[in-house]
Amino acid sequence: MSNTSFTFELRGGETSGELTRFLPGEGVQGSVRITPDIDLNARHVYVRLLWHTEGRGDRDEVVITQEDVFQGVLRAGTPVHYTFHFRLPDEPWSYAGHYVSIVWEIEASIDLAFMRDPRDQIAFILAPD
Amino acid sequence: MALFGVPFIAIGVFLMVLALWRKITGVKIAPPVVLVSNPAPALGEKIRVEWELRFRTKTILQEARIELLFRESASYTQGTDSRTDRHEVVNEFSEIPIGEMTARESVHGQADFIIPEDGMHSFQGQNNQLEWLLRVRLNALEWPDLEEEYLLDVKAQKAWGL
Repeated sequence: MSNTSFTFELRGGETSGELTRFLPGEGVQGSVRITPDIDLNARHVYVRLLWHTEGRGDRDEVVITQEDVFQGVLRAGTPVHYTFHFRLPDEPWSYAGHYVSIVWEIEASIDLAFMRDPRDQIAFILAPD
Repeated sequence: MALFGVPFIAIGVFLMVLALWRKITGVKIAPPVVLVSNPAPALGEKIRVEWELRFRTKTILQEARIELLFRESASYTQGTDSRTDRHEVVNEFSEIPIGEMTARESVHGQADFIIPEDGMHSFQGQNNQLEWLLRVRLNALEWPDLEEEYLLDVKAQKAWGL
């Protein structure tokens, strides 16, 4: 099993607690550095913009957009760096309620054959002023 | 085999009782008529609600109000069952005049509500919903309570930004 590290960096937005807040319709850009601990033959490396729900109910999830940023071999211990730039939609806004929360994320994942796909996310806030 | 049919019979009985309940409440009071100035308001927007109640028989109204409420609904599967939990917050309400109403009497009025500017817009997921509603609640003496709901579609916009 691979132990791959993902390091995200978001640019722009406004710091809000531990997260970065972006306005509806704004662009979110940044980068992800991926360092596998073993050689990985990646069918795809995806970077996605998505939201999902958390809380009492079953999960709702919508992938807004997805970029296929790499196909090939990722070498053990060799970091690779991908940048992304997504335009945020107007809604849904981030929300934290009693039974329902809406969480926005940038997710990176490595699509592998016959192995669990390594993945990680960075959450951010989508909300107006 | 007989046990297998029990849940379906129970559901059928429940639906019949529900339908009967609505019929019973409707014997005295017709379903409220509610008109909203804008059924798709923005956050921070004021909406005017006009309501009309028609009484079919003499009715003593003990409690009556119209509420603006925000509801979270979360549906989940537990084993083979599907369940929905709801959490409601009544944001504002307006009292409707109470007392003795005569047969064929109709009363009407209006109320203004403001969708909170710092609130959340309406959201419809497959398993999770965030809803704004107007709810009319009537409590008549010696009669089942009547509750009617009217869904609003609150936009992901602030009124001051329009």
